[in-house]
Parts: sequence; C-alpha cells; structure tokens
Amino acid sequence: MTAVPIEAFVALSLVLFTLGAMGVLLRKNAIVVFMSVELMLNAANLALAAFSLQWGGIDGQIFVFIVMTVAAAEVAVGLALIVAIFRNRQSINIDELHQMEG
Amino acid sequence: MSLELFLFLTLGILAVVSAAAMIISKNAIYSALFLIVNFGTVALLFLMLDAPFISMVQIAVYAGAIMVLFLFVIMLLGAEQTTDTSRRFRWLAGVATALAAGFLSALSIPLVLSGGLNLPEPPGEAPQVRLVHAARTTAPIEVRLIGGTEQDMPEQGLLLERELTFGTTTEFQEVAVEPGDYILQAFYTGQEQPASGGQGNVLLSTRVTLANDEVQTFVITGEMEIVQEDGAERFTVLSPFEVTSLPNSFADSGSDSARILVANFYTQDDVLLVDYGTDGELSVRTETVTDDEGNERDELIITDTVVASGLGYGEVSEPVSFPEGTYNLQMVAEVAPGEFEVVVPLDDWQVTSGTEQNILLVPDYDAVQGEEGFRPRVLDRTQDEITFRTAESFGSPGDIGQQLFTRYLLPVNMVGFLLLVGLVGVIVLTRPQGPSTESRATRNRRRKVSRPLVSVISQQTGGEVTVEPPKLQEPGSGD
Repeated sequence: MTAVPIEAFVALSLVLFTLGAMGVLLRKNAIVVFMSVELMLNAANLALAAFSLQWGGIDGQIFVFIVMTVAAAEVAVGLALIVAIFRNRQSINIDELHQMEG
Repeated sequence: MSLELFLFLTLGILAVVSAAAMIISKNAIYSALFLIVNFGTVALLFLMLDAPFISMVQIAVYAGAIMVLFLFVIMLLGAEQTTDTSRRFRWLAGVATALAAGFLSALSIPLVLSGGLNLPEPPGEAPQVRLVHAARTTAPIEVRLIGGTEQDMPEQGLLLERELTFGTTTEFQEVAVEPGDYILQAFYTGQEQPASGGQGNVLLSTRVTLANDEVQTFVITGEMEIVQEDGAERFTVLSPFEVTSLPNSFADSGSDSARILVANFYTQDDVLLVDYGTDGELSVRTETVTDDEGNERDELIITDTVVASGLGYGEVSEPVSFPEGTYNLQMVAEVAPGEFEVVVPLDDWQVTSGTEQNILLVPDYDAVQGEEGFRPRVLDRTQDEITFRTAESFGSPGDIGQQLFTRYLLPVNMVGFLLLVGLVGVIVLTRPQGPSTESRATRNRRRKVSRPLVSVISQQTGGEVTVEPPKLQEPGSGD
C-alpha cells in the first residue's frame, strides 16, 4: 500500500471526471467534446485502479484494460461520425447541428 | 512529506491543470496536446497504484494511438477552431459550472464528513495447510477436512491427503474453503478396508480453525498397531491420535534471520535443543543458589546457547529467531535432573535467512524392526519458504494476461467482437456518398445496352418499330 491514501486517488479522479463533464457541456467543437469524454473515461479508470489496489485483487485492472479497449473502439467510430458529418455540412460546431430539433 | 505524497501532489496538480487547459484552449490542437500531457500523468499515477502494465498500455494506446487519431482528424478536417457564431446556448456555461460544482460537493461533502470512504478490507489469501505424519505406525493414513458451513463441501469432506505415509511432510496447499471451524479427520486405509471414508477406521477427529492469510502445520501423532487376524488386518490404537498445530506466522520473520521451531513427539523426557558451539561438548557450570527456605543447593546452568528447552512430549516451542549460519546443534534429553543425553546430533546444521525451520523430534520408523526399537530422528530438514503472492507480481503483464485468458475470456471475446463491429461501422460511415464511379459506369453501360436505338428510329420514322426478341434454341431439341 502506498503512503498516499486511496481516497486521494478517488478524489483526483472525481475532479478529472467533473472537468471532463464540463468540457462536454461547454465546448462547441465536436472533437474537443469527444476528447472530454475520453478524459471522463480516463478518470473512471483511475478510480478503478485505485479500488483494485485497495481490494488487493487484479479484477479492477482487468476492468481498466477492457474500458481502454472499448474507448479505442468508441474513438474510431466517433471520429468516423465526425468526418461523415463534416463532409455533409462543412462544420463540426455542435450548435449548428440541430436538424433533429423537433 | 513523504516522496510518494509529493509525487502524488505534483502529478495530481499537473493532471488537473492540463485537463482544465484542454477545456479552456480555443485551438483544438492545443486541446489534444494538453490531453496527451494529462494521459501521461495519469499513466504515472497508475504506476503509483501498482499497475505497471496498465500504465504502459495507457501510454501506448491512449496517449499514443488514440491521440494520434485525434490529431489526424483535426488536421484532416481543418477544424482547429470552430466559428463561435451561435448565441443560442450562452446560458449553458453558467448551468454547466453550477452542475459541476453541485456534483463535486454532493460527492465530496459526505466523503469529508464520514472521514474517508470506509472501504472494506481485502479478504486476504486462502488458508494454507500442511500435514506431518509423526505417529508411531507404518500405515499410511488419509486425512480429510469435514464440516463447516460451506455449501459445496463434498459429502465425504475435502480430501487433504490420500496416503500420508510415516515421516512425510506435505507441501503447503491452499484449502478452498471459507475461513472458519472445521473438523480434521484421519482414517486408517488398510488394504482390506473399504476405499475411503469408512466410519469404522477413524483414527482422529479434531476441531481446527482455518483463517485467511494464515499457514498452519498439523502434526498428527499417536500410536497404532496392525495385527493380522484370520487373514484380515485389524488395527489397535495404542495411544490416542492427536493433532498439534504448529504456529506459522511468516509476517514477522526477519530478513537476516531464520525462525526455528522445535517440537518433541518422541520422548517423555524434557528435550532441549542446544548449540554446542565449536568445542563439541555441552558446557555447563554449577551454581549454588539459595532458595526461599534458606537451603543451599547446586544448580546446573548450561552456558551454551539454548534454542529451546523444557519440551515435554507433544510440546512445541515458541518460534525462535535465529541468525544465519552453520551450527553444531544437538537435541538433548534430560533423562534425570542434571543428566543430559544426546538424542539426535544435528551437526553442521545450516540455517538460511528468510526461512522457517520446523525441527520435529519423531520416532524413526525405519528402525522399528530392529532390536533397538524406535529411534528418534528429526523431521523436516528442508527449509520451507512460503511464497504468498507478492507485490511484484501484482498488476504485472503475466498476472493480467493470465486473468484475461482464464476468468475474463468471455468479456475479452465480447470486446473483440465490439472492435469488429466498430471496424465495420467506420467503413460504413466513411464510405463515399452516392454510387461509386465503378457502379455508375456499369449503369451507363447497361443503359446503352438495354435501350437500343429502337425509340430513336421510331421517332425519326414516325412508324412503329417492333423488335423480335431473339429466339432461343432449346438445347437438345433436335432441329
């Protein structure tokens, strides 16, 4: 066990997650929104690794590994979506993408 | 402030600052670069959390592959800066900040009030058990663990050892049961007896307590005789069978010394383990002491190093920490007050640091057929090192890989399938819009073929043009 309490890692991951969520809500650039989502996933990974150490089991780290794989797949599909949208509308400003508005 | 705390604070501040800078910077390229810094610091934090493999994957996959993809798309689309034309969602900034503050306080205020997360303690390693057959009999015995509240406990109990022969010591084995009270049973499994677990030949039935993170050595003692009667083997228990549990707590064994534990399962006399030193003799001196009633009497005091003393039958000494080296140990029995007799010489006894030695004095069954009867001998000359899963293997690639290929094979397969679906999705999404040039060419060709000049000719001539469809010859019609 490290000299740093597990709570400190969890608190840091909380702060990073909140920053990521703010990025998702505040930014207009779809790519930056996407990067903020990655930041949130990464914060969750940090908490998982911290709990894994606390519990003394490897399961948490396996979860981190799987989350990373899912994130990679998500990035590939998401960026493809952004490219497709850009091709259609010549913009990736999410404020201009409201054609589904009722 | 410890180095680890300093490192954590530095990395934590760097991570938060880089994340904030990522959100604030107007240029998407700078955002991506700040995110790479953030991923790097999180990778170092993983290293602090005993996850070296995850840390390396974080750098290679996240900070490497994924961020390269991001930068590539930003450059490809030329989307460094979005035109901030819309004024529709101005109010969102305030709402988002308020939401974030509310989220943080809702989670952190109870955390501070309750003084931490109150995380549960880890369950620990399964109990480990080792058996020693030190009973006066040649017959192999079978040892089972029964009882407890375990639901999946087999009816006949958990088999610990099928044939425990005299003088053997089993390896430490993990017992896959919940910690708690169990009953240790030993059976005599003669050749004429039913296979195993018969109730008639129970030698021993004792309650034992198993706890996690604990290693125990059970020494089975007693005396039994096998007599041939009418061609069948019968056994008689001469002295009751007992189990003595040797304490094994490896936590406090020092790095520069070994732990020695002495037990006497041989003689009724008190047994001592003495280091004779280089002179090869027991050094004693007599001292006159005055007892409470004023009588003077002589008392023998051993000046050599005594490892353990005053061990009656079945008694186990406290574990003694002993520095590394070669010793001239002698197992000595006090046959009469002041009279010592060497039972077993342990010349040039090697003591290796970081190990645990159980020196058990047991009858030597190999000599039982001889005239001298039981001779003592020392069991367990080998020095045992117990390996618990150490911090080095925790989070290593081997550790994680083994789990991925065994317990988590199905999730890994599902993730692989997800990647495949993602791959197909990317291809579908980024396919060029409209028909490809090749299919357009095919359609044009087909149009030329399917629309012959019939219509053109009929327009120009004004008359109807009929086209006879070509007559197909049926194969094999004979025309």
